[in-house]
Amino acid sequence: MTSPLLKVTDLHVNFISRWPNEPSVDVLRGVCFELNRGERVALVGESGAGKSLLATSIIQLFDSSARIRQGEVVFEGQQLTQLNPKQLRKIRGRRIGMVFQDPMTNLNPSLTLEQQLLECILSHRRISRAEARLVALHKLRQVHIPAPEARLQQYPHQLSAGQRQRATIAMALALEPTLIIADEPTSALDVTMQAEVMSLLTHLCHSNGVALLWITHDLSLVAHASDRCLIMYAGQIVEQGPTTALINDAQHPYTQGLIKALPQMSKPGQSLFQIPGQMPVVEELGHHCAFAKRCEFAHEVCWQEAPSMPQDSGHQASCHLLTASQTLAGAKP
Amino acid sequence: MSSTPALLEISNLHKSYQAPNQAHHWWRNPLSTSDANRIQAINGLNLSISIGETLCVVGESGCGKSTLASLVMGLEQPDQGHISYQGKTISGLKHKHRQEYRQRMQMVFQDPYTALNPRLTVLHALVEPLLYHQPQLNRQNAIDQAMAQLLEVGIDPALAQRFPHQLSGGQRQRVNIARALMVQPEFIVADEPLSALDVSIQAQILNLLAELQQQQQLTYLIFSHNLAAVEHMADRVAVMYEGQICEIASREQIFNQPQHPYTQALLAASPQIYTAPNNRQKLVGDVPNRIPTQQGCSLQDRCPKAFETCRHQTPKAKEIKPKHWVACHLAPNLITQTQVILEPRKLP
Repeated sequence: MTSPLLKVTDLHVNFISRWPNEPSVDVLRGVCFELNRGERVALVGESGAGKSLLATSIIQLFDSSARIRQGEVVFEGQQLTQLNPKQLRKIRGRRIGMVFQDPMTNLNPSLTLEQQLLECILSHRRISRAEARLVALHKLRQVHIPAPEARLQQYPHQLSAGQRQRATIAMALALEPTLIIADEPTSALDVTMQAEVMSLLTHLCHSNGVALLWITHDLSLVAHASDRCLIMYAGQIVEQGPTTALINDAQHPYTQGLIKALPQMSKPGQSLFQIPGQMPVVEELGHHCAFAKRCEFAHEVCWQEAPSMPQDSGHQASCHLLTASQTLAGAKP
Repeated sequence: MSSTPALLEISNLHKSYQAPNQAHHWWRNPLSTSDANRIQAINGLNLSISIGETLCVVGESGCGKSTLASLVMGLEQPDQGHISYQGKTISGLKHKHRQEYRQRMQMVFQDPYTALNPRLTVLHALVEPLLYHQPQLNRQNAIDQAMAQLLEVGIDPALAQRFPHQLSGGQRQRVNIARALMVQPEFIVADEPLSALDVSIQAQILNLLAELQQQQQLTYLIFSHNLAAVEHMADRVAVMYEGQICEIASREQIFNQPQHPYTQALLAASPQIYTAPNNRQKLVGDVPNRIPTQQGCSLQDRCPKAFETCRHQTPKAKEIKPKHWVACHLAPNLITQTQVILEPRKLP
């Protein structure tokens, strides 16, 4: 068995408070997952669950007040948590590419595409400008941008939203990374563009052997554009497994709720299932199951201790109801 | 188009804007009013909404949805055509005469984060429109009404003194809806009410909208590109492309027997959780800029079914079944096949 491309073990991230007496609380609370080469993994959860923080913690692109308190991030056999900023800069972009949510704000509006793409390529590779320009053109062609020579001279506002997002994908691919982290790459796009960008990302990952860690809150897209799926809630991964297994046989009450809340899951005119309440803020989290307050199956144990994640590969969920000894007749979700 | 009395009727509406990339050439021809410099945002649109129904308008961004919303609300004036509300023309009304209609129709904006004034508390935001429209109203009375409205949309009245940044996304969208309902309107225009929200909160807002409609006999005009949500809440669906309605029919018709190639492609692109996507059905390319140099059907460059007639003749809306209107030259002949395969256009 080969070692995974990325292995995150027991990751705890907290924010340092501005006030000296205020205790800092963990926002990521023991995240563990693995990602293999060429695999597409979707990270799903509500806003505020810590999805983006997890993605940025991998390459430490987060706010300066955030700290990795505990845990390991091993990428290609290298401990990322122990690198200094200079070493990290060699990994960012070169080995791990990133695609952000809003293509309008992550491209520099006052630089042409050529300037931005070349800046990215030349800061990592010792090649001439002309060679770098060829690489840029090749990448733009790969993401199906029509007339790439003309596009290189244009500014981001001259492209449509779909083209802008494709240009950022080209930029992430420019240095041939082995992992791309995409933070909600399709949320700012139309349905038609969404389908196009996702099939493009899928195709590129397959043909280049690039792994994809993909953040989203759209479960219906996840169903077709990922191999494995991680469900995140309140700074923890509550369920993970192969996408088809997870969608067809959701174990955790939260995942089940997310699926049931999709408008296509109930008949038109009927009222939709809704998960009551909201995700707890970090300060409210105690030493019990974070979902207990909103869970229809919650019982005493859920309020006494936090459920643990079974440590086997494959489909797994962290819920008291699922551990064999605790299963209550009829209460199993 | 329908037998029940129409609440809002839009006929032959046109709205164009100065094309941005021509804008900096104003010095060349300052008096240029030629059509070539203008983008046709709304291009001869006809629509009617009956009392008590939910009409959803779907389409890609850039098809003129938001322009239509602003025209209906009177935030923009049309170039041509008119909008009538219960038989009276309201487009082109001046401020004072418009006032009455402002109270009867209200809008819920897309982004709950920017639609609320960050410096007003929830209570202040709710009371303000009420006192504007009914200046003689007692302040205490207005506050009581606002509290009752908050309860109705499911917000704890204890949150009334909070500022928008202290609320979650779902709560903010509820406050937006509550604010629109404060003056007891009969007609709500919502521009993408769900797009900024999470799935679980979307479900809450969809349920709330349905509940409010039942209680207060509201009429909704909802703009969206979330087809799953549209299928859930719409009575009728209008598909918009290039500032025109290319297909309008009941929800069942649109989702089970879409006729227009554009509708079919839109449905195929919308992800379904349990059915595999059909990769062959997709539109390639972007929404072109509407500079009316081109003749014929506006979809001709993206539609693989396009043939000679599409190149030089603009299709007219035909009623192919009762209350099912399609603007496509192929319309009645496409009926049998619900699965039309749109081959991707070859990219250069």
